[in-house]
Amino acid sequence: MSKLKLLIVDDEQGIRFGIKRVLMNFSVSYPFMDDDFTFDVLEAETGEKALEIIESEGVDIVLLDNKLPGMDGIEVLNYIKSKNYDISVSMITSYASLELAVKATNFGAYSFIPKPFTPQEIKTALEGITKNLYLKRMTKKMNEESKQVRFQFLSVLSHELKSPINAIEGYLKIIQEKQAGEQVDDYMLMINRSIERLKGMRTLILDLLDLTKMETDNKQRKLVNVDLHEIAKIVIDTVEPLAIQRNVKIYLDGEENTFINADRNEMEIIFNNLVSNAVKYNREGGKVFITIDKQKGLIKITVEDTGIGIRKEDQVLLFQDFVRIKNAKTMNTTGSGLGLSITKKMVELYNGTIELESTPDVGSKFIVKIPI
Amino acid sequence: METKKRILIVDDDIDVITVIKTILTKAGYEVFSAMSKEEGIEMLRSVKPNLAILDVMMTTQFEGFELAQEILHSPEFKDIPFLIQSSIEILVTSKASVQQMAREYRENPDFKDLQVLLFKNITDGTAGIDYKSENGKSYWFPVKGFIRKPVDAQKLLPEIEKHIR
Repeated sequence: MSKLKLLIVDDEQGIRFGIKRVLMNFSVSYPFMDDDFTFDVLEAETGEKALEIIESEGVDIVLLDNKLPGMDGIEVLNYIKSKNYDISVSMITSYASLELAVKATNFGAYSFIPKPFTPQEIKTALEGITKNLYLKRMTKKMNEESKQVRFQFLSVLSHELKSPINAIEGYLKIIQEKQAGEQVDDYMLMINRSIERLKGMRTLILDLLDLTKMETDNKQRKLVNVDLHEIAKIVIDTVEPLAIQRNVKIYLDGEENTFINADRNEMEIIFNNLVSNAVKYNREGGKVFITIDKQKGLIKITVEDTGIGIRKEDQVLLFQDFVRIKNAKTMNTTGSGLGLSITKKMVELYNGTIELESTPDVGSKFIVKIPI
Repeated sequence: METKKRILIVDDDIDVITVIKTILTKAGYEVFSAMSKEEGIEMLRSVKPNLAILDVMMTTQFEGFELAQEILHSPEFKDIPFLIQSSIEILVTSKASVQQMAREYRENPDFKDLQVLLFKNITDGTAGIDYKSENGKSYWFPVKGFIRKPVDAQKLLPEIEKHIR
């Protein structure tokens, strides 16, 4: 049960008393709210008194008469607006006229309750005001949270960009000062690692582009009939050089012409991330099995490897931005930590799911299901 | 024969470990490495290093700071000096105590929202870290010193020699 502070501003005691009585055992609840709302009622007989209460107590809702002795309702409304307070105001007045209504709305009043009103009219009005206030506050909270998430993302991103630069610069300084010998060969490991880290940075930049594209260019998605079998073959072709280097064999199983209505580019990214991971985190001489299976109402894609596998406690983290599982087995493999997070986001664009079954030192199996 | 001084590096970046290892091995130290807080604690126990070098952001954002505090609070490790590796700016003073300085900076609107502040007193060499953890709590702890990234032999060796005799 949450309480909202409600201030009634009216010079007629009868009105204030009436509203107060109506609200005594009244609560507002909606299925989408976590909580029911009840009202703590405060009263002011003048505009000046109202401002005093707003300043000292802080209120959530104001029911405001326009015709008051001294400063009038519109002036009170104007004050609340100028201070940018998070207060929902509703005008109540017997002098209801179109002109006043327009003026009040311009000054930020949420609604208008004409006098005389029945208890039910007050209740209905308050249900609307409460709902509006709740949604407004939720939206604000969510915006702040998404700002927080963005900030977090940027701070991790800058760390991920700085890490390879620091590593490469460290190596270059050692080479510059000839710390490890006179011959180029003495530095081969460092040179190779620098090249590896540069490749990693390039992957990170490409992944970032995928990610921004996905977040901003929704209109550029082109949904056409895409043959997943063909996509898989193209991706295998791209990953082949790395697979040969690691002596990993890739098998593709599935019917040709398995069509799905999708963006070609996105399907390529999904396959590419899963298959290149399956090669990268495989053992020397390992295998990768890709299957594409059209079932009732969905297409199931699985990518299975015979690699290092992922521990249970690491599996839950795996799909988050920038998460890379770091241990002795992965330390020489570079990656941006974005591939699986992007894959998951893309699969979700199609209302699909991605699951993982994995056993350390046996292998991992990623299962993508997309409804059709 | 004089036994070599032992240095433990805790960093999740294999290349940073290689760089520091190359420089320190050449300078005559025996170097060990660990890639996480847990591995670091195991190595502290088995190696008993004369000095530790800690990276900050590993699998979790403040893993190195957490390890630093475990060292400070453990009867077993509290005498092991450690240096923190960081690529952020270090705030320096020549007068006030570093903790006093941290308190003042936390009240400054330009600095109070920053997650990590590093302080060093250039007169007496004391240093410390003030950081806000993910649970919103603010922590302060003293450190022996900092190593700026990227690692450079010219700066790394004198800093280490200060703390290992």
